[in-house]
Amino acid sequence: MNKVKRGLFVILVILPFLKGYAQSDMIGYGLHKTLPQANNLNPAFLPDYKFTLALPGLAGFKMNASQNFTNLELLTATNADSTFDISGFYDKLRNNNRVTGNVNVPILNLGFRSAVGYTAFTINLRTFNRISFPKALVDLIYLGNTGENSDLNFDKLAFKSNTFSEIGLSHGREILGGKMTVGARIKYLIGHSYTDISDFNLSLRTFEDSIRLSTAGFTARTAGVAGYAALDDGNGDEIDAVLNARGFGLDLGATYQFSSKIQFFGSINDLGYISWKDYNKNFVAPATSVTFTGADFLDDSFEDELDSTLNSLDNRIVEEKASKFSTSLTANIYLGGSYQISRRQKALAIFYSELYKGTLVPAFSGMYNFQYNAFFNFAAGATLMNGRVNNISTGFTLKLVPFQLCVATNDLLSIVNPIKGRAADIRFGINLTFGDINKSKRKGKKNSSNTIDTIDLGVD
Amino acid sequence: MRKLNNLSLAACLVLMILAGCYSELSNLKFPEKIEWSPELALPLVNSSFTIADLLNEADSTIEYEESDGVLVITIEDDSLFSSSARDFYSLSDKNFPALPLTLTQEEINEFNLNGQVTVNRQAELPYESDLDSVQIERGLINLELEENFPANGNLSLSISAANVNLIDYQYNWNYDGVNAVTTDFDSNEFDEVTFTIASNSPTMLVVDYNLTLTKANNTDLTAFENTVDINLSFVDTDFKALYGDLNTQDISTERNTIKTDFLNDIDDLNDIEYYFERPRFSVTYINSMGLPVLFDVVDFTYYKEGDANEININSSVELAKGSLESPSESSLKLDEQFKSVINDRPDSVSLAVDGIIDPNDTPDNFVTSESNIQVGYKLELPLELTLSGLNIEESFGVEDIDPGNTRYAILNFKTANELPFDVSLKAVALSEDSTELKTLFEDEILTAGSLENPSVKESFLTIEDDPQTESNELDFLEETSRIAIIVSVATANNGNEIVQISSQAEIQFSLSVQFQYTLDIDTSDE
Repeated sequence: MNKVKRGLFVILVILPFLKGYAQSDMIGYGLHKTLPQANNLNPAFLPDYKFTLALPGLAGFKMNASQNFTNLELLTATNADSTFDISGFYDKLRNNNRVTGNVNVPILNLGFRSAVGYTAFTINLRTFNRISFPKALVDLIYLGNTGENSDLNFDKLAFKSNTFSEIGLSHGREILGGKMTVGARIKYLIGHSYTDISDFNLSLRTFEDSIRLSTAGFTARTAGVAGYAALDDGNGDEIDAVLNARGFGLDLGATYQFSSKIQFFGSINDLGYISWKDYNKNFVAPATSVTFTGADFLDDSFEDELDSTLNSLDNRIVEEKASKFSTSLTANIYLGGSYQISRRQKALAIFYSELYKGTLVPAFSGMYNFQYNAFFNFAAGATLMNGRVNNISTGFTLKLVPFQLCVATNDLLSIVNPIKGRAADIRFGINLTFGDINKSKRKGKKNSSNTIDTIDLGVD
Repeated sequence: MRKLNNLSLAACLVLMILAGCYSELSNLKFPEKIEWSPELALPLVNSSFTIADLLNEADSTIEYEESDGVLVITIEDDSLFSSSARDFYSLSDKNFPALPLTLTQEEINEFNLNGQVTVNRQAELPYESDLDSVQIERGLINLELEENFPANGNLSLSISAANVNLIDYQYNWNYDGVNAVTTDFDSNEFDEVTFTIASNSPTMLVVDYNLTLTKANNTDLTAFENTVDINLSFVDTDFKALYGDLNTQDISTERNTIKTDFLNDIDDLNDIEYYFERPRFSVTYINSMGLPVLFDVVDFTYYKEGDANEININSSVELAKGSLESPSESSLKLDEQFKSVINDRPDSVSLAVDGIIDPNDTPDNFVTSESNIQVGYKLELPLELTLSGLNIEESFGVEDIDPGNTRYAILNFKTANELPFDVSLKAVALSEDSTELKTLFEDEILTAGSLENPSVKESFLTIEDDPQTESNELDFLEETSRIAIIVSVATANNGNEIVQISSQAEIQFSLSVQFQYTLDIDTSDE
């Protein structure tokens, strides 16, 4: 037990110093008993409903948009003369600033629950977009290019975008006499668009009588619709660009009922890749630089000389048709446990991490869950990430026969205090759910003394 | 029930908190203006130029070369006056004697007996010339015909000279039983047809007849009463070549003007003062005719501010026979005379040349249609000189400067001079209509340097708004649309020292600016 405590202590001490980009769905974990989409987080989760159906449009969406450098309070702050408090905005900028947007649109979710298992067929459209820019870029705009800013490095000026559809088939079932559930989902992936500019590696140096723009070299990779858009000789056959990339993904999960009150669970999701075959195009810039020294007034105007200098840089960027390549999904891990406080209440502790570029990007969440049968399920928790408790997550599912309404967020702070919020995270959707497996089990227990088993059709 | 109450209470509490937060949101006001003041540094001009570059920029037709390390400007025109051989020699029109065609008694008998007769004749007309040989290139042949046969006729003519066919002619007539006389006139141009008339064996103009007569109104012919008369003439003929004893001809050119104020064509060089140490000027002659030609400069006058100053030149030049392939050339050097002319800064120089073609009346000459004589000039100005008052003006556009938003600007001039000149710089803010708004900078920026030891200087100009004053010292920038750079140049020692200018020697000039500018963006709805 001491080892466990020591381990926990180490994690709690280290966590504040870790920075990450995790976009976890802790609240989905907290509502997993009644939220069919929680099965996407852990295929070993078996919803309490016998039959679940989410249709296009009704199924809603899960959206997460965040940035790490400003909020409404900063954007609306004014000076005494009613001008924008731009210095306040500037001061809050980080060395590396980021805007991220993720959207997951469930197209179809069809699930069947048996007494010991759950099988689901899902189709989701997912998109992930991130742009990051260094403070030095704002330095140039806000402060200029003199003095300390005469040597600016625009490291981490990057852009990444990935859009794909996943068609998944999952199955989870109880084993060890119900003490444990295991599940897996295999996903067929269709890549739609991909762009990755990991770093422009740009720098701008201002000398006494010249300005030099340099890059240490970069490669911009595009595929699918993005690659098609970059083609000079597109033939209008866009459908190929949208549907030609293929891939596979795998989610694995398990739960273990340690005691009547304690359950452990874990999952690893999005193991897989997409192979981009067509419309792949690379833009490759070698390490190079251009220097602008001003106009030669006998030959060119200032504008012509500037255009000529920038064009010479542009001309060094080589466009090439790229061969087939694969991109990995961003795998993520959930590990945790729950403690049943009472029949309807439990506490959860969830550790989350993304496998981002070979490193673990962790988050830790403590959560409270209240469930009133399959009718109402509520969860709220706090997430420790980037060294501080910066996310309060909450949400509920409410069954309004036969619909189930789900509203949840992983960033309650931004909702209740939008002025200081830096993100928007919301899950909204309506599921069609039928049957309560717990009611069936309860009836089953009541009928266990009888000699004839009854079958519960599960329609409330 | 108690739990439900607690739940309701909690829900109300959450709603109140949310309502409080979102009421703040509705009170949010976005700033109406975003304003910031970056300090920017920007290179504006980085230019290097030689005197040759400036000359090219001013007039791309000016030629120059490097000679003994000195830039030499060359201005020349080899055909200030030009005349071709046809201006002096030509062919006169030629009328040939009439050619009558009469029928023999046998032919008349055949006609009267058979009602038709066909006759073929050939006649020759000598083409005579005083020259040894004449090649005719083009011209007109006029043909006048008159006949009086009381019959229907069909006449075909073919006229040739030296086996070169010149005309094919056909004429038909019908006898109306009353008037037997008909006439015709035809004029034919022959072109690109060359034939040679040689005097030692006169060339014959050969006329071939083919006449068919058919009886009309049952009228018989009577002997010796009926003819076809033909008159031929050559008019407007051009020679291709003339060989023989061509006449002596006088040449008298019109007065030709050479502009010598070319430096004034370069903008703002009107005040230039100069002295050329070794200018070179020559009158050039070219003769491609096969006769000797004697040239004589009869007028050499330069004009300055309306005054004519005549230079007396007594030098004639005789050119030997030439040809198109190998024209004879000569020149008359007038270096010393021209040195005094050019250094008096004339506006123009006029030149008139007389001459005689074949002054000694030599017997065996020739000219062709392309032979000519040309009189020109060649002016060479080695830039070994003294100079002052050379002002070079250039300007660059600056737009949309809001002086209210400019806090300060520092202009940094850097120059390096390899030319043996002292250079001063003036920078002036100009309005759209080129009115001077403010002199930004005026100072000597360079002293004379050399290729081996360029003279380097750096100067700063600072303009800023003084916050202590109510007015904005930078208001003039609002009207500024261009900044003019005026470079004033004088040779070393205030233009009193003769220097040599190399084509490699250049002035390097750079201008950069550092300024703080307030940007504002109006974000209000209005």
